[in-house]
Amino acid sequence: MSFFLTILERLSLRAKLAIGFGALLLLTALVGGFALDTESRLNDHMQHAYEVDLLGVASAKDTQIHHARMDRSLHQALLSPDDAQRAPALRQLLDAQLALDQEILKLEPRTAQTEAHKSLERVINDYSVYRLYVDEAVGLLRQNKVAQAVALVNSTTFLSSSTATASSIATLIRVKQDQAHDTALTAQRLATERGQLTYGLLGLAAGLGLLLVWVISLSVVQPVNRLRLAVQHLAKGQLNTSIPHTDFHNETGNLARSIQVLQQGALDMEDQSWLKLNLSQIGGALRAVGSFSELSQCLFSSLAPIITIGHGAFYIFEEETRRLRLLGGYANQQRKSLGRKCLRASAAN
Amino acid sequence: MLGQCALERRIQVVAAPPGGHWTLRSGLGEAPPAALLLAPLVMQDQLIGALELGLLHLPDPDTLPRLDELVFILANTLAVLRRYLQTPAPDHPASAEVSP
Repeated sequence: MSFFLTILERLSLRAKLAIGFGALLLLTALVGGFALDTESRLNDHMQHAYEVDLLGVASAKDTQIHHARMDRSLHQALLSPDDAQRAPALRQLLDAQLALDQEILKLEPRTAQTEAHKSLERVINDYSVYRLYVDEAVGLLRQNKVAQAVALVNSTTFLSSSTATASSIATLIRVKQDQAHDTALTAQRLATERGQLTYGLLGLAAGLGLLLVWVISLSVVQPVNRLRLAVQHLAKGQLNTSIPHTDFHNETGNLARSIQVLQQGALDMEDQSWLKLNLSQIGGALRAVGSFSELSQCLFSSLAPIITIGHGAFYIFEEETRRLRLLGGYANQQRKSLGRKCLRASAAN
Repeated sequence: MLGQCALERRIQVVAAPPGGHWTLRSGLGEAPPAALLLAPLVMQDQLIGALELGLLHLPDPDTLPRLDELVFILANTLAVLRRYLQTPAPDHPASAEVSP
């Protein structure tokens, strides 16, 4: 964390803002993308529930109705006294039969699942047997063999085939209803799970965003605070305070370097004023002396602490003799020999 | 050298050659000076004295103008004192000749 903060402190303000906003945008995009994916999945489920389950159940129920219509029309045809009255009944029977065939065709793509598919196959088998008996009865009726037709329809085989068809259709309806229920439950579960995940992701994104904002604000505020402290120290006169962050290549670094220039200026000014003060003190001290030896002594004793003198000699020029006469010295017991050496070197040059 | 400097009437800083003749002595031992500073004291274009300093460090460029100022103050004081005393007190008879 502190390593990350150190790196962040060295970045420019623009880079920090870009990182902050970029990360927030990314988190938002992540949450949004997840929500979109959830919506698309739920939509698929809804589509499936409508296309396969809802319409499947409707078709199965229609099949049941058409089967009942076939039964009723056939009985009506049997009960009709003459051909004229029988004909509409037979037409109704044919209508119901065609409608039932169509519903079975519609059901085929809607029973992809094993159980439903098996039920549909059983419906088709039972129905084809039933159809054979119905066709036979209709043939007898068309030949005006009404008594034979009534006997066939009332026979146990016909009745059992009709019952078998009705019961297999009922089974298909139940299977389709169960499936529709399952699909609805799955969709509900998905919605709940995805909803919880989205809330979790939102919380995580918010937490990460807040953390990032905190860290970035810290990376801006901390160096500035350190600089503020340094400036406060400078203002209190502690001119040798070290200015932090002068090595940063960002706005803080620029500010720190400017403060450093200010510090150097203040140091120079202080140095100058200190020296000026000393010079005026020396001047004052010198003016107070009453003899050359005092002057010499006073000069060296006040000069020594300001510049590091190893030794010193002070001469006066005498017009009459045109010679420099030694007035006094500082740590110059060896003055004569040094002077001689110096002069010798000078003569050699 | 001091005489030459006095003739030229300007401050000279001579960096001491390594292993040179000059040494600074104290009770603890001796050390070579880093530089020799030679300053003539001039008042109204007249030489009135000279100052010779053996420095332990080479003076930095900022210090030289201040030394100039100091030499000016010193020359002033010396001139006033000389006029006031009229006759110089023979405290230290040692002297250095002005080289021609």
